[in-house]
Amino acid sequence: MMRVLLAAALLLLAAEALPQAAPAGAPRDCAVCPELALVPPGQFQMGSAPDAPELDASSGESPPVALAFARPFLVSRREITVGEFRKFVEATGAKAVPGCRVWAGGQWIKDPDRSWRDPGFAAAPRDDDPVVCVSWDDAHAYAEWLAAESGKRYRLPSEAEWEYVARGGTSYPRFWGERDSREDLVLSLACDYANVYDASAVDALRLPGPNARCSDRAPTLAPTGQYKPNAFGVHDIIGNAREWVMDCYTASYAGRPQDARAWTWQGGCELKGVRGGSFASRPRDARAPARSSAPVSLRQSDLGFRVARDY
Amino acid sequence: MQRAAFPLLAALLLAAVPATRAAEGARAPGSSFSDCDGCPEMVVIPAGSFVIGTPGAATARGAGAAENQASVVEIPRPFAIGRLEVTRGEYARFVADSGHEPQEGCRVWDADLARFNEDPRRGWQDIATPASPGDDLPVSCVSFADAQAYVQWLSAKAGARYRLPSEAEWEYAARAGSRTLRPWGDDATDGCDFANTYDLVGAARYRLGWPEVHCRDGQADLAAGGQFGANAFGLQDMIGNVAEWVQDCATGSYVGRPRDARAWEWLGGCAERIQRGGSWLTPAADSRSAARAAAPAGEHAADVGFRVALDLGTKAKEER
Repeated sequence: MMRVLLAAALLLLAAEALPQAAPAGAPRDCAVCPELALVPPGQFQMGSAPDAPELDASSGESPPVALAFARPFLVSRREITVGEFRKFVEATGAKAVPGCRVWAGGQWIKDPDRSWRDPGFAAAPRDDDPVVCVSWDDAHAYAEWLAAESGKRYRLPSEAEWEYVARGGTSYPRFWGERDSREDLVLSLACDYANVYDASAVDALRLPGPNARCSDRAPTLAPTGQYKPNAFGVHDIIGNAREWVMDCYTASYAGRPQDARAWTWQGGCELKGVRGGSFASRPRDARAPARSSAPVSLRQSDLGFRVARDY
Repeated sequence: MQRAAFPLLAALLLAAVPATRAAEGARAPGSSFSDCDGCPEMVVIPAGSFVIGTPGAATARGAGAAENQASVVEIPRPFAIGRLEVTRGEYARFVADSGHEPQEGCRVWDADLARFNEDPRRGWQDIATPASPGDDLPVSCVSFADAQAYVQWLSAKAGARYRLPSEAEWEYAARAGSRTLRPWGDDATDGCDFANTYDLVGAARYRLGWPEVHCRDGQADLAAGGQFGANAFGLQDMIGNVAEWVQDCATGSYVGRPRDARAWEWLGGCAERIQRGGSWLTPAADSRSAARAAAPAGEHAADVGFRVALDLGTKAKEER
């Protein structure tokens, strides 16, 4: 009930500020452009308190910072899909660099025969699966292409935008509730809202670490948009594929910009921020404030992206 | 084909060495020079690599938390750094010549209140302690912006691009090859010949509320530059006397920092910059090669100054 009220309130807020916005069947900026969710302005606490129960202190998620969004922005409702990425590759002639890190034999290992066209899962990739095995540069190039196609300034979301979206108007580490479980059953709620490392993935992946106590019926990637959205109408922000963000990565928020802009270094950086966890993420890594990073050129079979633009 | 390239490359390198030496003149690592009458004395620091930070350091808060994420930094080519901290005399020449108007006010030791206090009447010319500072003391009560204005003026005067050292350059220069906590070793109490920090002499005059190092450096106050022992690169006062602004933006981690020695700065700028080396007021625990502090770029403090750095081969006439 609380969630419904919150969603309604947020929609009202968005509708009041932006009368022309149409949340359902959202318009696209161009034929190949993704469906967008309108994210209302507001403020939130990025990161976690030092005593947060699932804190990963080494990631720099704590101490937190208070950030405000004075203006709304738009973010793709889903992770960019294989079908969407294929259109980009076909239109631009972008060369597919072969090779992708895949989970095999109990470790992440680079397989020269894998790529976004075939990340090496049991089934061939479907067009509505999130695209994976794409580097930060690939994702950035995709956003630039969308910008050229639409005349709108598409880009990757900033890390602050990403976490604000992921929290979906709540202050919780998971948008579906303050606690991750049905209190009487101690079963995780995650599987209704996210494709994470769950009971259905254990046999397929055999990852170290705990799995979510539920089944999301997807051992690896799931088609985008299958799980329940958050109050902003955004799907798969937790789980499915991890997502590149615009920001460079360092393991602290100290000194970051006081606003929600992407935090990047002069002269570029080797490590970029990665958010949201994936089908292979244990519960602790599938939280809105959880942070990870990857070298800018990494292609991995659990790593994709979504796009954003200014309103 | 590939084998044939090596002798050729070697011949080219051999041919290049004397030419490089000639172009740099006396600017071999370890040598020193001054670009003009009144320009700071510069010492040439060799290229190399080092470990920034303190492996296994206890995790501190703020900027200090980065220290235990020690990482390797490459210094790809030699550079020059001031042998001493920029002095009041050098800074006075800049102010007189450029008409630079520093913002009024400075955080100084208030003897009546027995604490540090922002005093709007103080400034670089009147730093409260000591009451009559000489021209050969390091300048203090200067903000990051003041330091930037100084290096711009100096660059125009000298015809070479002077700048602040990067944080990595600073620590590399301070360590001068040492891997100990301090340039002279691990023990702070061995440092009274090498650094003007908060010692027994300082503690006798100023009750700062933190522990003093148990030796006597002979200076109760800020001291004239160059009175303490040099490190292995020939640099003095890297630790102690005034804390020194460096070019880098401040954050609480070294993860993701550039692997080379360039300053780590954000696109769009940053509110806080790093200070290194500690001052005559800094407790022993923080008077170390790897210790770092962060401060708002606009802050003026009576124990914070700077020294300058310079890329070699950037003299304007050499570029033409």
